[in-house]
Amino acid sequence: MSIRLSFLTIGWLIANCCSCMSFKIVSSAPGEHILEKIEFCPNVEEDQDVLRPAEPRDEFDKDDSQICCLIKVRVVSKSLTLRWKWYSPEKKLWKDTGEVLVDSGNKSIDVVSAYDRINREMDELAQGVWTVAVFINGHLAGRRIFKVS
Amino acid sequence: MKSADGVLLRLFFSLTLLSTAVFAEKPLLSLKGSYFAYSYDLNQLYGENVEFEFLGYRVSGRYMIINIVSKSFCVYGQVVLAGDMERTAGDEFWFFPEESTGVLLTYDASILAKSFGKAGETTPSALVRDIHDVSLPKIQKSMFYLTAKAIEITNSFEVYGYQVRLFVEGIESVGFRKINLTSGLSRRFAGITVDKIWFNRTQGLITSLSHSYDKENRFNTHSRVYYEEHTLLKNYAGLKRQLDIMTTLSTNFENNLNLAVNGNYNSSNLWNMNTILSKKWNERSSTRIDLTYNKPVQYKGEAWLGLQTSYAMKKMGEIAVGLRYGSGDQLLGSISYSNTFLKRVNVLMTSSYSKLSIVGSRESAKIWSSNISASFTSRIFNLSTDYFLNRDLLGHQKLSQPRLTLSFNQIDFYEGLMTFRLMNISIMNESLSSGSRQRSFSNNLTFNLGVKPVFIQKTMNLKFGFSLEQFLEMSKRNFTSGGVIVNAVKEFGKEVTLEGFYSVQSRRKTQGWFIEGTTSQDLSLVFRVSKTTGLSGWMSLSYDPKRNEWRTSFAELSLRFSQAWRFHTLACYDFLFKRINNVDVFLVREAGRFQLRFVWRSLSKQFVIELTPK
Repeated sequence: MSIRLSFLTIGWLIANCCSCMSFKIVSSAPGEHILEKIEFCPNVEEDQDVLRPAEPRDEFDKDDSQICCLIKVRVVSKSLTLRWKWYSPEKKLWKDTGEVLVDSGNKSIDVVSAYDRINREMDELAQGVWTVAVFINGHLAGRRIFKVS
Repeated sequence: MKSADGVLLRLFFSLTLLSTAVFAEKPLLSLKGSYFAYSYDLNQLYGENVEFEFLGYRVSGRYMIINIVSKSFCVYGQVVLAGDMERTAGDEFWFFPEESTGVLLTYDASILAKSFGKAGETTPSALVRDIHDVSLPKIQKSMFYLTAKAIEITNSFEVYGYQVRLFVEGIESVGFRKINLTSGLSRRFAGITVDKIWFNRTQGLITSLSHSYDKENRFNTHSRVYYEEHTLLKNYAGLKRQLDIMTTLSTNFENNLNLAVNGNYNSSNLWNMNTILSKKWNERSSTRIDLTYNKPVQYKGEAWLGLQTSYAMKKMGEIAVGLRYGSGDQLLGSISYSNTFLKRVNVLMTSSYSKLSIVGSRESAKIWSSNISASFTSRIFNLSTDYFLNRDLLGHQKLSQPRLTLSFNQIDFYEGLMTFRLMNISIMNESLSSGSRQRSFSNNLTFNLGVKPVFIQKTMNLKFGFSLEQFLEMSKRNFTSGGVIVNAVKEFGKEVTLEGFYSVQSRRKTQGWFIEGTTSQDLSLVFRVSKTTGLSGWMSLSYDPKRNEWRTSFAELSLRFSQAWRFHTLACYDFLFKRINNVDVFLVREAGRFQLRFVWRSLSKQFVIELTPK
């Protein structure tokens, strides 16, 4: 009886699996220009042509003279445009970089890193939660908030 | 036996049909897009060029992220909500299918928010969450991730994928036409579900079924049936079969009135049932009535009816009364009162009476006990006193225990360089039994003196600690314990430290003219490496200076050789027997909501593969 039941169980499992399993399915691939990361930092370092954040964090105070917003974009084979929009705690547009062209020269690049910054010495930044919206090729690709205290 | 076969086969196919019926659950959300990636480890989904129906709108957007755990749904990048009469465009759309709400954000001269559905009841900012939590590169680093061309999410947050391809550690694997990608947030489906049909050599055929029903959070019920058939096993010594039924039901009426019923049944003649009716009158008072029946194996069942109520008076404290009456004329009663006076004095008074049947006897155990405690808290010291009285009305025994505790808060000297603590506990026990009275008294005084780390060099510091304790008993036994601890730490850069620890502990017992005692010493060294990335670990050596011998050595090493894989080992060496006591070796893969571990243990000589949920 137990052998019969074991065969029945295995057969039931195989039948269930085979009905949905397929080796013909082709995996779909994501598109280009994938925004991997948005990070805030007081300074940006350069390491082998890739920009890295120095002391990344989401909170800044009066001792930080500037706030950088560093982004990493993956899979780049065509030129792209980048744009940063900085919004104050009152949700008003504080800074707009406009479209910035990144020319890949028709070469395939694994990672593109770029940043924009706001200077605290020049600008009196309001305390509270700030928002940065990052646009790639004219559409929103990511958003992140940071706090100014 | 043949009829048993037939019953089992019919049961088997009925369960299969039932499980198929469960998969036909109506989806909460149907998504179409050019690309979807789902991480099994993180329970997160990413999509591109997505389209779906929501609140009567055809929603489309460049990207989509879903975090199943936090129930966050967001479409962003050229978002369009197209209805029959209107078309609205924006940059970011957060929505909550369960609550039929959504908010569309547009990044223009200011951040504009437009609410959809019932979102007017909540502020738009409360609906918006962090977007960077989910990303495609993060999903692609998962141990198991799947790509799909269409997705369905059910009411119980099960995620089904169509035209699915599985990736294991980034390597493309088998494909599926349709598959359940996740185990969801909860296994509780509406209706009957088959949780398990399994056979193993120790338990036989195992079947588990459950039934759930939930109506707008006002009425819900969940039942589970668990069945084990042992007749299929050879030489099984226990019962032929076993059945467990568990059921819970809860109803929320209006005016804060709740009714809950719980029941359990086991085929070994064991069952219990509990009905609870609770009412919250206002913020300060509540009442609970419960009826319980419990039938243990081989004993007579017992029924209990209980009433509990509490009332918080503003400045007059809180009073709680409980009364339970059980079959066989059993009784349990309790009353308690608590209050805080002048912000620093806390008083708690409790009193309880119990009359319980004794198994195999006609008599009942009657016990009355009371406790009064009061405490005073100040910046310098805390003083508390309590009095406990226990009276066994059947055995005519009485136990009373007054206690007084005085503890001083930590006092700092020389701008915090030295710290001092003092505590004293006095306890008196008096027991009265069969006309004889016994009395004992004890006093325990503890004294601690600590020193903040003293820096000898920039990279080396020393720390001292001194403690003294005296325990005095009425029988003139006197225990005095004292100890000194010296701790030295030497840093070699930020990531490597060498730590030395030396302690001397002495304990003396004095009784009349007789003095006895022991002294122990311990010296140990710890070497630590704690790199933020890559290698970390420690090794310790223990030495007994009194006996002039090495004792044991422990070592732990952890090496992260990729972002997710980690090698870990633990070892212990015994100097006394000159042998390695044990070595444990782990190879660990951190994978979001679960951890995969390959373990080898020298002590049991076992190799184990463990898949543990977090």
